[in-house]
Amino acid sequence: MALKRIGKELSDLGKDPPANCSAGPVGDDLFHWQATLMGPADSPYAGGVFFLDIHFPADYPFKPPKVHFTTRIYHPNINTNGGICLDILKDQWSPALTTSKVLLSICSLLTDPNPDDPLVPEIASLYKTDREKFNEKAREFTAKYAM
Amino acid sequence: MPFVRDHSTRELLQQDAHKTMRPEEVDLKMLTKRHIFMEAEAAAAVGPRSAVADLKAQYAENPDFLKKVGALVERFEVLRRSRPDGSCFYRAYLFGIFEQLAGNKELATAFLARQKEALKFCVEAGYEEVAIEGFYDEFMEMAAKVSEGVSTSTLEAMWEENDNDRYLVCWARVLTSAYLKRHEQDFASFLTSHSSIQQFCAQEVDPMDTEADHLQIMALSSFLAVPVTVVYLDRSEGATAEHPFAHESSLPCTPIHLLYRPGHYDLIYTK
Repeated sequence: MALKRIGKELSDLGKDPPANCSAGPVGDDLFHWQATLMGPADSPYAGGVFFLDIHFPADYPFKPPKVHFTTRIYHPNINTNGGICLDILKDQWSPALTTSKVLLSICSLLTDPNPDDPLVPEIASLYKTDREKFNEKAREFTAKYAM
Repeated sequence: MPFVRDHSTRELLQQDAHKTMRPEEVDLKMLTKRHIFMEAEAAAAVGPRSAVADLKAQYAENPDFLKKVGALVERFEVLRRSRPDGSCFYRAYLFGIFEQLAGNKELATAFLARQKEALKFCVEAGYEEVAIEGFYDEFMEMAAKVSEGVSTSTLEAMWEENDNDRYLVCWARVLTSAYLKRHEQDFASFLTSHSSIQQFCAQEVDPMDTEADHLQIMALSSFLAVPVTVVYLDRSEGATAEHPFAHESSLPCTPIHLLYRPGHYDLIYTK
């Protein structure tokens, strides 16, 4: 199931690529992909290109893919190791979701951080208390690591 | 009908991971839950036929339950356990349906004909075809195979083979979600702690270990049109309560009976 399903998703991504992101296998291993996200225009990540690493478990799609950023990013829900706090990558994963839907959700998370369920409390607190300073820092990281 | 919200073990494990507890507290709680969870993983998806009367021993120390079990034994003879992993309702209901398909050509033809448009129905509800067609294909293939008339032991074996149980449960969840989304107006007013049907489906239907309540049962039984009666064995006063779903169905079949104990459904069969 896993291999067949991953193959289907790959060909579907080729036919109908989602806006502002792309994804595909690293080398011959269909269980290991790399993805790129363009920083959303209406966010402090605009202009940046962010790389992500995707590992599919052997019992995909019954278990979620493991996804993390390999490009540094300043965000309340993404830590320095690139770990992402996103419900559909954890307890709200469903086998009826796809990699494409996951990437779109990560894009939405860049536009709308979720400071009430933070992975990095200091960034979340700055996001809540001083949005201008937060935006400035996020833009600074984007320019430094993602351009 | 009150909504019963019971968390699956997996859900509780995940919740606990976020809480801060004293180490000894964590150990005991986690160990107990992990144990329950491992038991669930090890159990057959659908257990063998056993006597409903065996429940008497289980509730020997609980006079309230025992009285109700006594009434249950009057009407029901056989029980099958559904693996307690959050998908027990979906699995028990589908197994009950497939058992009937195996011995009822007329039902099988009508049932399969109704399912022909199911994939399209779900795609129109917002699912990506690439994500769900594998589950649909497997469901239809197995339903067709069973409809040719297989023995109960063959059906039991087929259910445990490969990943069949997970495919079937997953398809049932997709159907349930799709039906809820496409009948949002009928269901939205029943929501108690979710802001929309979309959110309800994303949190309470689509993930593989979330348990079914009234809404999910209403939706799936409406779509599949196979009547099901849930018999409640709980601490409520009086005789055992029961609730019929989809009993107005025109499919030529008999209602499936599910025994509900707080947080869990099993299949039961009338005498």
